Amino acid sequence: MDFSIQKKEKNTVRKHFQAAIIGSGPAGLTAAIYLGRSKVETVVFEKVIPGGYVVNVEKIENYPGFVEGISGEKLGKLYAEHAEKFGSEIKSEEVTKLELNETPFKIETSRSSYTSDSLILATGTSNRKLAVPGEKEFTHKGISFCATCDAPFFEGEDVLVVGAGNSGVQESLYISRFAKHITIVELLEFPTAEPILIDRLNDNNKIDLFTSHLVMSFKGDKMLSSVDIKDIKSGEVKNLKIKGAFIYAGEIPNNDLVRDKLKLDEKGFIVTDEYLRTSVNGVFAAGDVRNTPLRQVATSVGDGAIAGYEAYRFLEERK
Amino acid sequence: MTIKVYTNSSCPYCTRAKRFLKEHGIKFKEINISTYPQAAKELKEKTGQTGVPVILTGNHKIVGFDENKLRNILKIK
Repeated sequence: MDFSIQKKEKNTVRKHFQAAIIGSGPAGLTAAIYLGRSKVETVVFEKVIPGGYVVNVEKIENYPGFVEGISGEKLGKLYAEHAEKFGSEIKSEEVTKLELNETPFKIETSRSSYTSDSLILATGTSNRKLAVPGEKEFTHKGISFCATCDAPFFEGEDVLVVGAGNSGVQESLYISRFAKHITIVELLEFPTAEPILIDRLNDNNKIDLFTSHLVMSFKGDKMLSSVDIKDIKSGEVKNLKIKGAFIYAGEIPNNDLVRDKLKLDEKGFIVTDEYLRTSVNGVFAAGDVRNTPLRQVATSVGDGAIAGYEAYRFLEERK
Repeated sequence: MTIKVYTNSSCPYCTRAKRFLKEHGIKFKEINISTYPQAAKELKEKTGQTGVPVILTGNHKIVGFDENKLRNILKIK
């Protein structure tokens, strides 16, 4: 039997795909599972490791089926394994440029160039920066955006956490295993985290919450040593001595690749219809990067299923 | 050239950096701050860094996972 053709195909690096997915979080990898099961030649481009933003979460407790919770990193690995099982290829290459004017769409990455007949954007969000004096200067010199990465550096120290949403409160609870004391600063009059997390916050005697407070500036010499915060009701400014700060002040969409190519809403999220179609035919968006009322693993998985199915239907209709 | 990589088990960029080095057959010594908490203190005192990964090689210090920088310093095509 002659295996030469099969062998040649296996050794050839594929440069064209029927579907390309940018982003390997819950939305992107779910879309890959659905496309793989539809026998669509699919590639997923990942920037860091499978899982997307979720890999920063120590334990996800509200994703159905995992009664005791599951680590974000483990869930990401399971998604990747599942997508590969059904034939999708995952490439560790950062996409640097897209051309959407004509099909096949052109994709440039940090290592190569590809084309694809359809595209799913699942690039997620990043932590919003505060844009206050000292933030840039002291990043990695006291300021961090990843508690699961950097909390051990603050063993026995006083730490600030900015934001009392789900991320801010959940990460404060994690940091409290290391830090001596944590002050959470929230701009709003109330925390917006889930009530179950607020209960845990109230039960933790290492954490204080200041609502209606604004971070004015981070200070220090070579390393972060204090922060000025302002009570927006009274106007009083306080200086807190801290060695570390973790910032969870909301999210911004990772829309750099499509900012001038797709219709975005006023906050920069990609506008889609109910079939997750964007303003360009054949381009879909799924998960946190699109205009959606809730950004959770569960909603991203739902988005990925719809986007994968709709990309498949788009490809079928073109035949 | 000895390469030291300071990591944390739950840090995605650390996982990515280690995978990159392994993929290119580069040997390195891993120092995990969650296994050796003293290493976090030492790294902070020695380099002024409070984030991982930190990759130390020769006179170079690479903070975070920066593929282009790693390729340049380690001469990977």
